[in-house]
Amino acid sequence: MKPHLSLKSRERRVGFALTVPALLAFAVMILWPFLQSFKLAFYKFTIDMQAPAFVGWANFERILRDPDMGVVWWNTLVFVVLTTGLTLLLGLGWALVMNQSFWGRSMLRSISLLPWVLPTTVTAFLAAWIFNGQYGVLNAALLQLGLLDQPVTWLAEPAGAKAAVILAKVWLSVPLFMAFFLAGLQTVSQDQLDAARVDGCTHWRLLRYVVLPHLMPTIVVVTVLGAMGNLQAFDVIYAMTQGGPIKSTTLLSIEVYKQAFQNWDMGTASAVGVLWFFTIAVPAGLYLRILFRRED
Amino acid sequence: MLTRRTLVKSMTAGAALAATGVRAQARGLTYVGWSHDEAASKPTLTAMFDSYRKANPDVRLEVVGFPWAQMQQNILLRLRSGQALDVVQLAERWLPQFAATNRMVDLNEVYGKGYLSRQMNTGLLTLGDYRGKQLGLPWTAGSIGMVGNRAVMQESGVNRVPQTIDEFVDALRAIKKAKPQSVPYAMTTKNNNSLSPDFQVWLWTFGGELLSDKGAVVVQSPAAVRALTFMADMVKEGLAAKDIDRPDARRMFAQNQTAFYHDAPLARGFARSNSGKGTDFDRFVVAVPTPVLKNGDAPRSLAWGHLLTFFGDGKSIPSQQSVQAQFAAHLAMSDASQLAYFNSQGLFPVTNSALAQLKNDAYVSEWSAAARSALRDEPSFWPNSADLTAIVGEEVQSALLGLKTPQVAIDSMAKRLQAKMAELPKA
Repeated sequence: MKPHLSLKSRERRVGFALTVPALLAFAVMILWPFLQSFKLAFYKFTIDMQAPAFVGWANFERILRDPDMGVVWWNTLVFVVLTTGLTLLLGLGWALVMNQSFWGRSMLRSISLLPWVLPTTVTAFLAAWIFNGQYGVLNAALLQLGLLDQPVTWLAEPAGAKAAVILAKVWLSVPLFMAFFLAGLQTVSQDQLDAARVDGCTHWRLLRYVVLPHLMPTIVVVTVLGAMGNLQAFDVIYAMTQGGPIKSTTLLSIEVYKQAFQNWDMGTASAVGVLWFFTIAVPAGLYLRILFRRED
Repeated sequence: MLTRRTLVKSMTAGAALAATGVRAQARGLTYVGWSHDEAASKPTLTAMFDSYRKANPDVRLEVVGFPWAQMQQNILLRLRSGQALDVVQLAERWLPQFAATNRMVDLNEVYGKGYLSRQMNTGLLTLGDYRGKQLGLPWTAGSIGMVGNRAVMQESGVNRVPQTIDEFVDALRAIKKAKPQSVPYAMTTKNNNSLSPDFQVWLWTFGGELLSDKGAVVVQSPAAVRALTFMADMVKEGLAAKDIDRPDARRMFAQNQTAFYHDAPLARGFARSNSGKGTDFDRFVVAVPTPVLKNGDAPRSLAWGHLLTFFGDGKSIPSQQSVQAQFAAHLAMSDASQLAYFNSQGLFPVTNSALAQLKNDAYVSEWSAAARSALRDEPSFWPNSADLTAIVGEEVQSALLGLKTPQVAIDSMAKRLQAKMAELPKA
């Protein structure tokens, strides 16, 4: 005789059955390739090899000994911190402006989303054209204004190239951050704001003691998500500088691509990918913790 | 009367016939390349493929295209996943990497060495040669050589193409004086894949080398330091500029902002389109032998070309009558195809007969003459060429940007190249 199942158990079974297609798709499209790539990190597999050969931790040892990899880690850190920080400040500032009431606000809000709507590579090529040392718009403007005597080769200098890719990524990401903050700002209680104003709060104190505390959960989530996205940044950098000059804009993402598709060293590429995964896992873990805590 | 048995019999016979028919009809052939996907060469190559299809209705030609920058990884992925790669377009510098897969066919065994050398100059055939095997059939060949803009030269009072390095520097100074906003020599100063060839041309000109035939690193030499010092000094003096890659140089050349730069023979085609003047611009474009240290030295340039290659199982060899061999011959050994490609793209033909028909074109003859002393890209001879190219490019760029002295850059280049070469298994 079949045991009698409670309604809750049956609901759970049905619920699980409904997730099976998604779980299968996840297993085939994400989990399996990820595990394969994880496994490959312990193998040597170059273009001349018919099959991978197990080498244990050798790929990781080589990567960690390589001084160039130190440069790549440093570049990644600088890029993620500056890009996330700048995007946060500008996104928040722009959201505060867009939350005010003025003529043409709706149109300006729509225009503000443009960098986010454009394909990343288009934005990257636009940025590369703006910063071009020979015929770039930035140089032309600065020369016209008399702020420069000679064109500056922004993308040719390591510091200039770093700044250019950071600015391009910030420009791309600000609309998304702004949209999050704008949504958050619209849930700030008008009564609370009015009461604070009646109590004599200045604009700055209003922002500091009412608006920002209200937005804090959004700020944390957006910062973590932004950091994760910036850790994965590839297209904008590759289209602008291809990781140069002299590795100055090579991040972990670019290094994986170079190892895999320029040096044809799949083992090393996978090992860098594994390290990259654990780097992203830190903000990802933080994000999930916030998410679960909120659900609890 | 149609019984069930006769029906089954006739259906079986019909299916068998159909299968035979399909087999006879569908001699499949897969071509993989990048040029036919580029807007400029698409019409010409599509016409070539169509003419082949028309002449060979029994062949089902499948044309697969990838952008140039993604060709290598796509070939590799197709190889590893067992997809067809009957005829594949390769850049000559990719040959060693794919030769390492042991899946490439020696074309001497397909066409016969004698036949190929009757069709093409042996110097051109070396483009497709790797360790004694003819793994690639030259489709278009030339060199990365120097090209000059006669309009800029004349405007600046430079009435003669400079022959030696001293004359070259004098000419650049005259151009800079006459046109202060110009970049007289659009030397490549970014992108490792362009920096490495340009550096090698000057390195050879000054008498240096990167690697010996056996793979020993020999770049740590006074000649290499002199070559890099010469390049860095040009940037310092404003005769060359930072942030220049080949496409930038092409644009500036066509806009009369540059007098000299290094490029493949299709430089004239780029000048036509970038100037907006079409063939009217041809009179300003002149092939310039790379200036030499002293009169009598051979002008140096870097061998360049596109190859057609066959990938197989590493064991069986297709015959000269095979679909693969016939198709590759249609593209690379037919004068009609070769001249059509030249006329539309300015890409030099490779067959003796097609070249003979262009002997009155000064640009072709001068370039070809200068290309006779072209040398193979040195890193490309080794399976880890991408690593070697990146090292050379990065160290050269460090010196050009003033981040390292030429001596320090060369020392560092030698040390890094030695480390990479040491990783290779002993042959």
